[in-house]
Amino acid sequence: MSIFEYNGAAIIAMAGKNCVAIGSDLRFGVQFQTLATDYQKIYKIHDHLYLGLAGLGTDAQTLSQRFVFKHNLYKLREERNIKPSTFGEMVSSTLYEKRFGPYFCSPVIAGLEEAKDGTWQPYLCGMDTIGAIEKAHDFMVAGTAPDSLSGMCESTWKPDMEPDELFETLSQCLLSGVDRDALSGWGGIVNVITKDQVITRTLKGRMD
Amino acid sequence: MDRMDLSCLESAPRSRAAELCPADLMSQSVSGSSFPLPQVQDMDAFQRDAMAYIKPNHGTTTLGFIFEHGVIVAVDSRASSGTYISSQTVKKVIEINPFLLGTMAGGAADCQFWQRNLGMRCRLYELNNNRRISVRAASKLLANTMFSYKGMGLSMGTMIAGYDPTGPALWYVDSDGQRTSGKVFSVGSGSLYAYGVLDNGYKWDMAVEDAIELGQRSIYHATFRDAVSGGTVSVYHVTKDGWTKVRGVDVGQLHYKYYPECDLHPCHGKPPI
Amino acid sequence: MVGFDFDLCKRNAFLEERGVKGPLLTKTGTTIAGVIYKDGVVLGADTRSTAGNTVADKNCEKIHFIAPNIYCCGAGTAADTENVTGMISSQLELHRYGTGRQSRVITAMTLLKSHLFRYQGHVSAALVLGGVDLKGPHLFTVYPHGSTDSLPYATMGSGSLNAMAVFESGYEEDMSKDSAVALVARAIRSGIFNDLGSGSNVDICVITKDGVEYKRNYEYLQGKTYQRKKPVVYPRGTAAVVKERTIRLVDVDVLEGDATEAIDFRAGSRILEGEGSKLYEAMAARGLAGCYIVPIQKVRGVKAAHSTEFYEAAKRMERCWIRLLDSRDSGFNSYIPGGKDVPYSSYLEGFTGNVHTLWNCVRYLYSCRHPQVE
Repeated sequence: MSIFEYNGAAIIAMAGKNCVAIGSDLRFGVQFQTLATDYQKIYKIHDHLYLGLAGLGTDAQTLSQRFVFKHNLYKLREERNIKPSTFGEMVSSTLYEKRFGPYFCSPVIAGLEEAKDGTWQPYLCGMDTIGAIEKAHDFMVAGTAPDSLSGMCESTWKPDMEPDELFETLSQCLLSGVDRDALSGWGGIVNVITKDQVITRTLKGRMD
Repeated sequence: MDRMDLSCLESAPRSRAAELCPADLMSQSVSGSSFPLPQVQDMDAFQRDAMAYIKPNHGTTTLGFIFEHGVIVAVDSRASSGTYISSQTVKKVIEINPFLLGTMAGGAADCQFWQRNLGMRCRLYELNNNRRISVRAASKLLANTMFSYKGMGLSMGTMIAGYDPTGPALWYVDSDGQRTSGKVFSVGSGSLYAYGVLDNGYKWDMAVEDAIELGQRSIYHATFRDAVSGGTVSVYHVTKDGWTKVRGVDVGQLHYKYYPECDLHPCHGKPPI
Repeated sequence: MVGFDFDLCKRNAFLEERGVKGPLLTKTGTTIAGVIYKDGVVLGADTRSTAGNTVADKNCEKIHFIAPNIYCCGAGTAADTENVTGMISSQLELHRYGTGRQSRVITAMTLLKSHLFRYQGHVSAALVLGGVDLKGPHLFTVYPHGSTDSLPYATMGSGSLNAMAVFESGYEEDMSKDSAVALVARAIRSGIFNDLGSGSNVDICVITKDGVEYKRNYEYLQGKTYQRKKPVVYPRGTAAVVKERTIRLVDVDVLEGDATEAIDFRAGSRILEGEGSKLYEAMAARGLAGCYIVPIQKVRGVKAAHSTEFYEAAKRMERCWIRLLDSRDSGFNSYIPGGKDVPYSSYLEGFTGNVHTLWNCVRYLYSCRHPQVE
C-alpha cells in the first residue's frame, strides 16, 4: 500500500478567464472504509487564494495549520495578503525543509493575482511531497486518481472559460474522475474564485 | 507424526473428478475440470509468483438468506484492481441452472470457471438420474473441487442458493474447502457492513417484498461504507418454482432515494458549506 | 544554507518498515548539455519532468539562473535541482554585494560540490554548470556525490548518452555561435526523441562576456498534436448542485475622510473603507447594516459600541460586522463606559462568530484592560 492511499483524495484546480476554480471530493476514509462524506481537503488562505492538500490526512491538517499560521505572521509584518505566487514559493520551501523526512502531502494552489495591467489573472501550481513546483496555465490535479483526473482535464479543458463554464467543466472532470477511483468521491465541492466573489457549490455525486 | 496428504498434487484432481462423473463424458480436453500442474520444484513459490500476476476481484459485497418464502440473494456489481475501479457492471450472481444460483467473491475467473463447471456436472447428474440435483449435493461437488486444489492459489468465496424437494437451501463454499449451510450469509470485503443491516432487519416470517428490500438495503449500505463495493444492487428471489431476478438498481440513485436530504445523512457531521 | 529538518524521518521509517510505500518524487529524467565555443558557452535542456511513468510537466524549465554571467542545467530530483541552484545563486548574490565583483564560475562550482558532497549523494542533483567570467568561458559537470569535471563539451541526465553521441561526432574547437547552438539543439533533440525520460521542447542559453541570450523553447517540438473540432461544452446546470454559497469580495472603496474599514468577521476580509456616517450609508446601501468598524491606522482602542438600532439590527443578522473606532472618532462609545485605549483590537482580527459572542469578546478584552469596569 502506498501512504497516499491511506485516506484517499481527489483535487482539481483549473484556470479560466480572469477566474480560477478549485474542487475536491468529500470522502474521508481509512483505507477501504468510508468514515465521513463532509471532509474538506481545500483550505482557504485568503479571499483570492485556496490550497488543496492531497495525501495523508494527518499531514494535510498539520500543514494547513502551519500555512495559516505563516500567513498570519506574513500579514502582521506586511499588512497585506500574500500573493499566490509568493505563497507557492513559501509552501515549496516549507516542504523542502523536510527533504529527507517529508510530509506525505502533495499540494495544489489556486489563486487570483493582480497583474500589472490591473486585471486579475489565475495562478495555478502543484507540487510533489518535497516541494518541486510545477506551474500550470491550464489545470492541476492531485490525489489517488491522478491519471483519471488529468485524462478528463486534458480532454475537456479549453482556454478562457467564463466562471460558469469553468465550474461545469471542473465538476464533470471531478465527478467522472472519482467514479473510477475507489478511494475518492462521495460527493464533491467546488470553489470558483473571481475578483469580486467566491462561489462555493457542493456537488451531487455517486455515494459508492 | 502425521504426514500431510499430498495425494491431491499427483494429478489427483483429474481422477477425483472422473470418479464423480461418468468417465467418458469427462474427457479432459472438453471438461477442463483439472489443470495440468506445472513441473516446478517449489510449488508454493511458483503459486505466490503466479498470483502476483493475477489481480483478483477482491472488493465485493454479496449476501443470501433463507426466510419463510424462499431464498434471497443480493450482490453489488463493482470490480476493482487495487484502488482502480475496473468495472461497475459485473454480474456477480452466476445462474448455474434455473434452480441454483452461485455468488461471486474473490477471484472472478475462479468463480466463473468453477461454477460453470458445476453447472455442467449438475446437468450430467440430471441426465444420469432423471431428477434434479439437491443443493446439498451440488455445493458438495464444488467444495470437493475446491479442496482438491487447496493451497494452490484458487480464490473463491461463494454462496450456493437454491430450492429442492427438501425446501430452500443456502450453502457457503470457499476456496479453502470449507462448506457450511446456514440461514444468513454475507461474503466479501463489504460483508460486515451488510451483516449489520441484515441481522438488524431479518425476520423469518417477513413478507417477500420486505425481504427483497432488506437485501437491497444491506447491499446499499455496504457499498456506501466499503470503497471497493458499488455499482448496482441485484436481488434474486428463489422459490420452489426456481429463481427470478427481482431488482437491479443503480446505487448512485438509491442513495438519494434513501437520503433525499443530504444534511440528514449520518456521515454529514456538519454542512460542508 | 538550508537546515534540513529530520523530525519526520523516524515516523516515515517506521511506516516504511510496516510495508507502507513512500510517495513518488518528481524527477527530471533529462537530457541536458553544454559546449564551449569561440565566444562563450551554450547550454541546452529538454523540458519534460516526470513522476513515475507520468509526464508531470510538459514544459518545465531546467536551465536555472545562478548569476548574471552563470547558468546551470539541472537533472535528477526536481526539488533538489531547483533548491540547490537557488541556494547557490543567493549565496553568490550576497558575495557580489560584499565584494562588488562579478561571480566566478569556479566559485559556483565549488559551492555546489561542497553542498552535494556534504549530503553524500542524497541530494540528487546532476548539473551542467556554464558561464563566462574574467578568466573566460567555463563548463563543468557536477555529479550528485560532489565530484566535478571541467570539459569543453558535457552532457548529463538519462539522455546524456544520446546527447554525447552527437557531441562526439559533431564537436569542433572554436565553433561559431550559430553552429554551437545548432549542435547543442541537435544533442538535446537526440535525447528528446530517443530517451523516454526526456521530451517536449529545447531550451537554449547562450552566455558570452557581453551578456546572456536565454532562448526559452528555442525549438517547440511537441505541442498538442490534435485539437477537438468541437470542444466539449457542458451547458450550465450539467452538474447537479446540492448547495451553493456566494461570498462577495467587494474591494476596498475609500469613500472620504479618515480611513476606517469594515471587516467581515466570518470571511476575515476587508469590505469597505471610509469615514463614519458615509461608511454607514454605503454599507446600508449594500445591505450590510449593523456594524462595528475598525480603523486602518494604528488601532488605539476598542470603543466598540454603536447606536442601539445598529446593535439590534446586528443581532438579527446572520453575518456580523465589527466597528472599532479611531480615538478621534467618539461617536459610538456608549456601550462600554469610559472606554479608552484598549490595545487588544488585533486579537479580534480573524474572529468569527455571531454578534453575541463578538460582543462578549469585546467586553472580555475590555475588562482585561479595565478590570474595575465589569
